Amino acid sequence: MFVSLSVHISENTLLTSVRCDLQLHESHPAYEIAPRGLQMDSAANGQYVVSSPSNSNNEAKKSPELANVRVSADERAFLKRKCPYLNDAYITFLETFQLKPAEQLEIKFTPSQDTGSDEDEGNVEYIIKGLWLDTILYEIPLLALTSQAYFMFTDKEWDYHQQEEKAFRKGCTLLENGCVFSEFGTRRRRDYHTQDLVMQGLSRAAAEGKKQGWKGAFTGTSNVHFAMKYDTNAVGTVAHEWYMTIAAITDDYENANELALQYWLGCFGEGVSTSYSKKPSCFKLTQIGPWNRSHGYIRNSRFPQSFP
Amino acid sequence: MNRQSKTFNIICLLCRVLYSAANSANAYLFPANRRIKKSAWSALLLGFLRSTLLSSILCSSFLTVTPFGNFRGGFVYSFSFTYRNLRYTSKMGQEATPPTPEGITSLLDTDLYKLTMQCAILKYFPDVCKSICPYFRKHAANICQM
Repeated sequence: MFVSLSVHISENTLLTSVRCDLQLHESHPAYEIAPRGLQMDSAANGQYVVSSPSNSNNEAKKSPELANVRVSADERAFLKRKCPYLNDAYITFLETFQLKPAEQLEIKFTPSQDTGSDEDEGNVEYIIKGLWLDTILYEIPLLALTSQAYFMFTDKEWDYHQQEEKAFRKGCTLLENGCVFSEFGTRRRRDYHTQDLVMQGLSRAAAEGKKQGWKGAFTGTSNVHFAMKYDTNAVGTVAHEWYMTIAAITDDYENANELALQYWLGCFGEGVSTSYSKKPSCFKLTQIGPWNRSHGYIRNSRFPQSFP
Repeated sequence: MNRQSKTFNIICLLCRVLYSAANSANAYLFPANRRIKKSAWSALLLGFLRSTLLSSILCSSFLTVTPFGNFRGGFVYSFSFTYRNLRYTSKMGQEATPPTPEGITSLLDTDLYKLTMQCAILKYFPDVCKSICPYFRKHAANICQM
């Protein structure tokens, strides 16, 4: 099915939704459109929704594989080793955690002008329903799959040729010029393999940088899976989703930034402190601008774990 | 023997011409993602080269009076050619191999900030339902309009 030029992604505290203009090619089986994760079925009104695996035997075979993804023992060990700020309770929770796209995810396609043609353009909307705890992990996989579908069916003028080399050269240029950078491309990747090649190139550039004594540094990747694969640091931020959601929950927008940080430090206080002293790049707290009250960040990092 | 060496050279040359012609046709006829994989071409060609190389070696073992100098020319040429193709295969093999895990195959194939946030949610907001919370509805609508 996919797509045309503009992809508009909107995120809000109610739900994570992705809308993009697209062209509909019904000739492509739905499971091809969103490989290994989503399947869509044509509804009578021209909308596409996630089919339940129980709809038919045939569809059961193509059941959404997102539902089958689990955290392995290796991944657990990696999280414990590289992400000590994630507490044991969470890692245990993650081991049994699974996405349930058949229940939680709805995908709609609304053609802007419904001519019934395969070339119709319109909006795709993902609606994810459920507890915040259960739905939060959908965003990145869905964005990555959407991006992959775009590069599978619309922008096809690319291949893997020289991708690794390009990443290597870019990495070398950055490192040579003293830049400190990390890889944050998961949600807009062409596909898994492309990101893999980029990570290969950047890792090679990092090794070259160490060898040559360049000032710059490749600090890691936001993608935890690739951090594990290339034995580098997983890096992240405190997302605006955190502040916005807490503002919405408490309905106290004036103090939401402070409160959200207090919650955050209550959960990661020690870990963040450790991360800052040992691995400065582990968290990027660039979004704490409003946090300029007199009591400041350092003092609040001592908040007890039981807060509030 | 000279003749055989020349034949071998010609075969190698033909292979090169065929290979580049096939590549050009491949690039011209198909869009980028539907092209016949270069590793497949290389594998085909290598298979052919190996068989020709093997036959040359067999010939040389049968014909013990091989003038070494002349035959070496053939071997050196064929070796370098084979080497180039091997290198090409390994390079393109790496680049042209379809992604082994397609789509999403790991829960950790996500950004770290989602995991850290989920960790904090588990601790403080395990029961918050984003889609039914009235605050979310009210304020998300406002935020969206901003």
